[in-house]
Amino acid sequence: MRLSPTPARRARLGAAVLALLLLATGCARETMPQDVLSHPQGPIARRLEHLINPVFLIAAFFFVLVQGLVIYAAIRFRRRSDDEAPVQVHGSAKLELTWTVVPAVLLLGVGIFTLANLFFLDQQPKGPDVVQVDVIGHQWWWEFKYPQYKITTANELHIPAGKKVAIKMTSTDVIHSFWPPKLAGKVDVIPGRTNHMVIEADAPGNFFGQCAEFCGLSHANMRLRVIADSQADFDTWVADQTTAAALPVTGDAAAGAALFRSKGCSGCHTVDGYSAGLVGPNLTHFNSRARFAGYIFDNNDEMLRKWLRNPPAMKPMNPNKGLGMPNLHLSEDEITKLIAYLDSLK
Amino acid sequence: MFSLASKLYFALAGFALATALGYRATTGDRQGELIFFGLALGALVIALAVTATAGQDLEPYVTADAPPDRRPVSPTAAAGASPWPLVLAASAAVLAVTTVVGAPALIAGLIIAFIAGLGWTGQAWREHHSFTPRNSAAVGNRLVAPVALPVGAFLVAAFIAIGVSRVLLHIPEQAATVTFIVVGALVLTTFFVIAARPRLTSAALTGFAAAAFVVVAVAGVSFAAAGERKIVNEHKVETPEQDVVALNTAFVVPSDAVITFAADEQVEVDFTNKDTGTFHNWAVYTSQDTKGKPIFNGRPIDHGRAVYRFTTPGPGTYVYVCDFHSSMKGEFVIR
Repeated sequence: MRLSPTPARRARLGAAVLALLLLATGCARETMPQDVLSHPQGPIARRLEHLINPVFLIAAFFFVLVQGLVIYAAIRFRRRSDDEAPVQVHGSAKLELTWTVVPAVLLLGVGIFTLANLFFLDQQPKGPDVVQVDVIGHQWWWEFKYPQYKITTANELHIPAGKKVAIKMTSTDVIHSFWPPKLAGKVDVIPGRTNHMVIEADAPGNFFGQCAEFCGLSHANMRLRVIADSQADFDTWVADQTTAAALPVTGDAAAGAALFRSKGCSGCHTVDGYSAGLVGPNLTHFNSRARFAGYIFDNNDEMLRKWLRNPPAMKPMNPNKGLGMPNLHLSEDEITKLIAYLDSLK
Repeated sequence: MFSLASKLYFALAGFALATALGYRATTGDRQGELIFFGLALGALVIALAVTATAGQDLEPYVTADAPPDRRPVSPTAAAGASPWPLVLAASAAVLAVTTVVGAPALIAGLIIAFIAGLGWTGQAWREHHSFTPRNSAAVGNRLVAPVALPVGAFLVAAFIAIGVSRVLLHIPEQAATVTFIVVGALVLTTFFVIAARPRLTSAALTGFAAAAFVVVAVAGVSFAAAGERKIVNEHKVETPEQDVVALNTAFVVPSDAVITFAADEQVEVDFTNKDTGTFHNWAVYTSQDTKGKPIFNGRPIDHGRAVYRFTTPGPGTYVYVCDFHSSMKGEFVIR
């Protein structure tokens, strides 16, 4: 009796387990917010899906066909004895023509549809109904500017549902990639040049997104959310964002405001009318945002306290090289006051 | 094989190497170390050359009844005049001036010595009685060609690129474009003609290559001597500038901590933080209390230098501060 499996058996067992695992992934019917292959939530994403699916089916058919033929040929024509030699043939003009012409025609077809979609995606919508957004990639957070409304915000992109949003994007440091999978494809965000993208959501909802081009230490923590509002909600949001928060004059919040200007916060962050820092996210309406720090932490007092105690311990950053927020060595009392001030920035 | 002479050179190489290391360790003088090290390298090259070429010092013992030695004698056995001792002497001369000229002479001397060692070894080997064209070709194929061809191609390309670029950098920009196109077309046409006429003699080809070499070398050297044209950056605009240094948690600026600029103008503040490890920046407000409106907040740095560019506000008196240290401040005047 054999006690340990032979290498061949072990390999077969491993392959079987892997195949089962692969099969099991198909059972994941949970919502996959960053799944690009199903449930597009807007006309642009749907258009992309209508290109991806047929191409995928064609590719899958030929993958199975070619792999099947390879496996069939390997088994059927394998060498059975040492002195066996296969029949020597020179070639077959018919066969060679077939397997050249068929893929050429297929590629041409796929190419035509791809090109048509490329031209479609390149169109820049114009008109008073189109919301313009400037996306600026930073290591490691997203800045969103609305030139029509003079709004600057971070990580949360509010758009009106059912309307085209024309995005212009660029980067201040390295190459990033803007990717809201349910609404559109990926577009690289490149320093020194402006790229374009159009997104549109069918209905109000939240759509995940994140940086899709490796951009350093906290690339994985450079997330974003597109929030599609009804037109009324969007108008309210715009009105809120364009009203400056009043400078608190009493209590912890007032003390926090003073600390904001003496502990260095104002060196990096803008609060309209109070500071003009250009390095970090604009905090003018910080408390209107659900999450912070590249959309990774819930915006509540507990998380803010942890963050202000030591930001690089919460999110990998390199502040000594100008990347990310440094530890400012604040006391607990100072943190309490700063949180009170941040909470007042609605 | 190992003759008395080769042993001597090996010993010299070892001794020079030990001296180089010892000299460096005791005096800390890098220049001297390099000289001794060069000597060691030179001795090693010579030692290898002598080892490869010289016969044994002593005649091998041959018994009285041994058959006569039938080693073939090549008809060209007589050694020709060799240029390599001269080249080696030149390298020694170049190495000798290292003390005056410094590192470039050392590198040049070592390169010349290396070439001389290689050449001498090669010549000695060709004249050795065991040499045959067949094993020469084998060595050539296995050792020389894989190195010599790419290095040679690289050197030729570098020579052309450096020579032609000197010309292009001297003449005006548009002339450079035209020259580049003309020269490119000329090169293509020439090689087309050469390729189309396979019966060109090697003498003609060599003559042509030599002529081309001379043209590029003369043009490159003379235009390099004439210097590059002035390349004007049209985007560069002269902006008023002010140096600001942060040191020991204080701003160091000339003239009583007051910084003055004209109104509504693009200006530059060249900020240096000498408190390494402590964040500072340079910011301007209408006043330092919380009622003060921000004018400009420079990017904080914890070491090194940052150049801040911004547009000055209207005339008035403002305050400049460090956002991290309220005590660091001064007057900012806009005329």
